[in-house]
Amino acid sequence: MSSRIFLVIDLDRCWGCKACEVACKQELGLGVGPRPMKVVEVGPRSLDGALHRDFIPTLCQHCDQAACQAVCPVESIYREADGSIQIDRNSCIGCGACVTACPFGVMEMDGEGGSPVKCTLCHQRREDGALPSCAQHCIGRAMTLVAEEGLAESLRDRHSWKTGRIVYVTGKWARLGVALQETEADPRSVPA
Amino acid sequence: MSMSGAGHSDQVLTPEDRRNRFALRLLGEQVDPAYRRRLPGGERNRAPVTPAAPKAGRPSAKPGVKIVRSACYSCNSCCEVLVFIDEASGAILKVEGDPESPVTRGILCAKGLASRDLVHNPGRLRHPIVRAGERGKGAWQRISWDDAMNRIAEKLLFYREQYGAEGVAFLQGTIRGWSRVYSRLANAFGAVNHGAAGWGQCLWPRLVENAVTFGATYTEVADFENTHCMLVWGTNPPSTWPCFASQIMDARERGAGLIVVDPTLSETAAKADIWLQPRPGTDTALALALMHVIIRDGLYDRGFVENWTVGFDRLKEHVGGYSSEWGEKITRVPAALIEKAARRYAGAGPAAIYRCVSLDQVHDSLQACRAVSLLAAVTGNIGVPGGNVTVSRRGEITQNSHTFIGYDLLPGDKIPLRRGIDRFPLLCDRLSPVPTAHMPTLWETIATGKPYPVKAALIFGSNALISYSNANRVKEAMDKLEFIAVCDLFMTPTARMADIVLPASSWLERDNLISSFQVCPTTTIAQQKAVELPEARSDVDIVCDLARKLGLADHFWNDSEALYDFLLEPTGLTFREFKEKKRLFAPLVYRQFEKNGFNTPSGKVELYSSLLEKNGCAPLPVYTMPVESAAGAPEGAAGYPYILTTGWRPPAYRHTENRENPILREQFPRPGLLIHPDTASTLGISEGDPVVVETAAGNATLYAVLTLGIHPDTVQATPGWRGRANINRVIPWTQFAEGIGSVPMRGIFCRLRRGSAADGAPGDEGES
Repeated sequence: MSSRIFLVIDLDRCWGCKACEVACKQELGLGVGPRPMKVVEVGPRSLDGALHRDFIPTLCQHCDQAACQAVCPVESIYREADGSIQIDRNSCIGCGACVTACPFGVMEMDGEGGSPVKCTLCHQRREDGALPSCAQHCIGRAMTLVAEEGLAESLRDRHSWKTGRIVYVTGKWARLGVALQETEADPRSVPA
Repeated sequence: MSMSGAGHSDQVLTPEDRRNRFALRLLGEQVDPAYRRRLPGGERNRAPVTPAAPKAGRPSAKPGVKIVRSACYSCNSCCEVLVFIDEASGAILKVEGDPESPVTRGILCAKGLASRDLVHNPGRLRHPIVRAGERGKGAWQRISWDDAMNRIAEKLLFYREQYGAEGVAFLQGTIRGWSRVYSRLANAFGAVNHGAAGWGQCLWPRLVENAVTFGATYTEVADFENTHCMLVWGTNPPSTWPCFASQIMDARERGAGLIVVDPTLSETAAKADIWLQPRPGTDTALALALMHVIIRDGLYDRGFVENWTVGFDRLKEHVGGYSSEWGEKITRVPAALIEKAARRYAGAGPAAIYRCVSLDQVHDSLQACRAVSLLAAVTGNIGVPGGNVTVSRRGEITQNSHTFIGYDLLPGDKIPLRRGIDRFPLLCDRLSPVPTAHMPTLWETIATGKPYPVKAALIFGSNALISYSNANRVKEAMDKLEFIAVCDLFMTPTARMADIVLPASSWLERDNLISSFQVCPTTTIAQQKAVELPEARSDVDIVCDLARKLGLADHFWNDSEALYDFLLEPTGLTFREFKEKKRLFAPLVYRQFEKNGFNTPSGKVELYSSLLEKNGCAPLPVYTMPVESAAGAPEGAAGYPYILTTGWRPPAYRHTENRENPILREQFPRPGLLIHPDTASTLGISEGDPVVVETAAGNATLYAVLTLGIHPDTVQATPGWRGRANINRVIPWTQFAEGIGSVPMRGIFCRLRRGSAADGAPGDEGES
């Protein structure tokens, strides 16, 4: 697992079925409550006379500049060699500073007095040669794991946005002339 | 439907707010226009044509973990799965898709992924129980299996002795095993009043339609892999048929067109190139208008029509008056869009129609099914790669349906007693794959005792109180039954009414042989017992055992394994050997008709159906007005100004199932009613408010979900909820489909109002 990896999410292929949400919870052993993966629906909304209904799988972005990592008082949040951001369960004190700091709202506490949970990019599964559970089970086959060397090729001629290891791509919105963007893309610009 | 505005100060935003704001901004919603870059030459940004298919390795087992390869039965898709078991405790750790499956390539839906709860849920029935107090009060006494079976057999024999076998109803639901053994038990017992909530409402209209039009035994396959255009009619596969959803997505990325017919902007409609949004219940009119354009413009396949169909001239004359303008008037789909869709479908090269239950649930179900499938016939999209392939074999283990269910065991003089057989021969008589009673007629007989008493019911895998239309009337009927035995997984409202309740095993706890003709008619797979609940038993084993107690052992197998051995005989394998092999896969055969013709009276595709004519039904698809239409019943239109359709099926649920599962319930916590914001505003209804839906049959209360993706005069309900939220309470028995008796559930006049405290809570949790 020496190569840095990216999870490419093709928004054109997301059905909004939420299989990924359950796959993720199962892999991380979570019950009712936190959803490290959550599909957010946008619309239906009317643009240029047509109705659009879209789905955005939201999860830890494994940011290049990770706000959670910066605020952790005990340095329990670290970056793996593959580029993913991980939480060291043993040293985490459960203070929740990372949850407050995350500009994407994708970290949650697992129950009262619990510890923070978020996407691990299925670190363990990948070591075992399997795909992240969300990507394997995705009914639209919208998610692809791509090594850094292959990223440019898989994004060619597509419209994309990323701030870390998660890459959102679309052909539909490129055709409609709307750029994928997040106005405060740099998480450091968001007050904690 | 989704969250709307999101604030701008992070100080006050919850993580969820931030999550929603992120998603909105990513797609340019509520973003300062200065940030919205317009890309020059958008066309150049077209997506690449290579599908982004991830390569999945198969997860390996850790020490102390056992992996059992099985097949999910959360629905009829039968996706292959891996069940991870902790060897020390025997507990299921997780259920995952099997990346080695040629059909799924590893995907699995929310229901399948969450299915370990079936075994661990505290609400699971774990042993046989007998009623120990007043009916429905919840007092039970535990009994042994042997005692339970003896008591049931004794009662069934008693009622047969007293009232004849027609006085005992054999009801079933989505048992999903070799459920036809249950039909065999009914026939061997002599019970003509055998049936299911689903049959006349789901699948049977399509099966009968395939039989009379194409001479096929099963439903047609949509060959997505090779198609240039998909016409998805009233179905939303990402919610209900995940394998098809993934195939549609692959075909779409390959460049195949996608036309979707749906009254709401479903997940599938949202991905469509052309979305046709008809008024619920007008499918036949839409299909006839499409046919008009195809024939008028000469877009049909002359060679196929000439060589392989009968009745084209009559069809041509018949649709002459059904112009796209006429279609617009009836369906309110713009005529220009009808023309465009017809040209796209007929002009694309091989095109595949994919349809499902919605066409079985309109007032003219059989005619609607025919009107749609004749589109495939006249365009020559039958039996060809990329089209619709008709199917009469079920993998390697084909059985003649009537032989297997022991139809000839039924005494001939009893058959005329079957309720509904006089009016609905296509459901109740020989043309039906499993001849069944017409359920509304049977419920009325149970309620009134006319024309003869029906006093006892054996109910397998059916939450009858919730799953039948006109639920209030069904409850009245059930109250009249003197004896009820129920076999199920959970203590459903129906099981609560029973005298004896048997605990069925879930798919994780039993061996099974599967050939799901609906998803893949060419594959046969083994479902393998992953865990054991000591007293839960498979339906097949229970049926075989009960048959012995009823003195019918001669017609049955010793147990389920003996049945599977019998079914596998043509393959030369025993079930035990087959389990090692796990699957048999036969490729789809194209153009079989060139060798064998079509198994219809004429040997060709019957555009004009001689079998329908013989059975007193319209031989060409005719558009008839639903009773529930402004023209059909003006008074109704005045008193009930909105149109209800009941087809909103969230991916977390199947029919009445899965509400007990906390993970799935979290995804879709409340019974929802889709309603247009303008309508909601007129009625003083806000997002999340309780809404009372009323018809002459009754009322139901669901929670408003506002969406622009529905017509302002239409609302769409999620079916399958309990208590006041059960939308079946408002479905009347005022009209049945010609010949086959389907109850219209799509396109019902209703009134709407905001619910108040006086209406009480929807109470979806338990009470019926």
